[in-house]
Amino acid sequence: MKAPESFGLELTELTRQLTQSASQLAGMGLPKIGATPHETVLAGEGFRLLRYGEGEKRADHCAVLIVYALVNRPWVLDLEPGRSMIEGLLASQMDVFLVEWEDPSEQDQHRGFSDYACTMLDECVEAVGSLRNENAVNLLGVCQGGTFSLCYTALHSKKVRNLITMVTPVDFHTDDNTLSQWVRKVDLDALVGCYGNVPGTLLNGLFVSLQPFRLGSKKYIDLVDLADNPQGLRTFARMERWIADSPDQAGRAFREFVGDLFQRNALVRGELVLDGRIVDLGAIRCPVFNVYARNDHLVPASASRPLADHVASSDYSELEFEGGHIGIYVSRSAQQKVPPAIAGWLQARS
Amino acid sequence: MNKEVSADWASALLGLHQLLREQLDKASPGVAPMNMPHATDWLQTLVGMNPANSLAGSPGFHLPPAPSDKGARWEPAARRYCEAALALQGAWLQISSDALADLREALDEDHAPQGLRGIYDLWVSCAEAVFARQSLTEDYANLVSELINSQVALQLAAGIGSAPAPDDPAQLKEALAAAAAREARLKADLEALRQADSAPPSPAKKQASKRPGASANAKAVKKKAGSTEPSKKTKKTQRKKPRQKKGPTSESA
Repeated sequence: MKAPESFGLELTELTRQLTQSASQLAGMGLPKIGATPHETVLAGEGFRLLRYGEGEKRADHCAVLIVYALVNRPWVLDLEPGRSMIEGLLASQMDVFLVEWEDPSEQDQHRGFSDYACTMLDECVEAVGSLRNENAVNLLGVCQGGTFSLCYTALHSKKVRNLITMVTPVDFHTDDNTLSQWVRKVDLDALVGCYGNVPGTLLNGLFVSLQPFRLGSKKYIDLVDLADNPQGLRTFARMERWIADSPDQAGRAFREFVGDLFQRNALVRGELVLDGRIVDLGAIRCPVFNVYARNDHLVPASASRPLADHVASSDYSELEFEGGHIGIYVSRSAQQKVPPAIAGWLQARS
Repeated sequence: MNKEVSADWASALLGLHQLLREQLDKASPGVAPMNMPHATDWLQTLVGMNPANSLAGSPGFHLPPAPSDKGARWEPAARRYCEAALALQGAWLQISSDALADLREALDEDHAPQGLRGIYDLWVSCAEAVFARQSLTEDYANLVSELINSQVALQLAAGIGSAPAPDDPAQLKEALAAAAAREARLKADLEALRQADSAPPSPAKKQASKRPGASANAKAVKKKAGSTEPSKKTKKTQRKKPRQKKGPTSESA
């Protein structure tokens, strides 16, 4: 093996490339994300309901309501042209709606899990049904939004025609769920008492520390590969913007979600109570399409797959994506496979 | 690789890392902040190869003096936080050390990378593998949760935020009464079931218990799509999978 001092030339070249990448990033300014045209069709208390695409024809297309997580912004589903799940669904002749959760104010710290998964989501479902003159919707829940969608469907089965869950945690206590292990003994009452709304930066730090070498170091060193790739740098900058932009979490909702699910695994135990009712996944009888990522470090596939054992649907399908939690939204491979698969599955059932 | 060479490597990687951080810091404020929260600390620890030179010894780690009116609560909370941080730092040191040992072994293999970048990538790969194993252990999880809990306790001791308010005693009494009533009902149901079990079965009951399919757990057919294949191919690879329905009163509850 060579001694470290013999790498002077390589280090000089790496430095040149890093400098070049960094100076290009500096000159780019704030990168725009979430650029696919959309309109706000409902502005509720704590959320906005967006509708994508333009033109009269979209009403003839099969509709889907996307429910994203609270812990990050949904713009990762619309990062840039060519890396946009929303764009892919529109191209597959879908009428796409998205729930955009608003940041909680100090007064909103008492907003609870059921306010999101039941009340606000129900307003969106009703609005989509009203706009489309339909009495049931197709739900696409992503990550934590998938858990919300499962809860909603279990409690309002008649209002959901088809359910798609994407990288959605169901069983929170599988052996390879690092995040779940870490938060099992966190004192949530004290945490929420201290912060009120839980800072997004705190959660972001926790997520990055799940893969500290890769996410805290290597991805920046890898910038050397983008020194002569302005488009790649723009994508990098957009991803960085998205990752760094973590909204705070309403204190009560955070305490309930983490306590009930991460700590007590109440959903698969049939012990989760929302709006005074037990959330029984066995009440889900509509067609279900469960999409998960094989190498997901945030929501391991083992946390998503157990859905098959808990819903009562006779039409249950799975799609395993060969990638990770972020790659399933933004990778080139995902663009080719995931939106067409979702659209095809839905259109076959509409 | 002996210890000195390990330290040389750590120094080289640290130099690269610091260089990168300097470059990124020059990026305009318009670009999202790029924090590298751990790797540099870990590398600095390795350069020193001594936990005493690490987190607690770093200039940024010294805690500010106790607020004058909160000293009594502040000091134990600060001590607890320091201990939690040091314990986690100790785990990081072990992970870093194991990762370097794995790197050394990997570099001895025939097709090991020869360039700095390749060796760096290999180091990251070794380190993530060691970290993935360690981070799943209960011990490591306890270190993380204790760090969070102690940090929160420190902030509460410093007057930041407010400790959770105790629940309303009237509501607690009400909940306790409801739970006691429910427990009494369940005990009564259980007793009734026991008595029914001990009584000789009637002919009608005997027949019912032998009926096939009497179980409430109906089975349903499941389908599974192929791995990342478009939906058309999905149907070709459908599999039938039995399902056991679980309700809130099932054994798993």
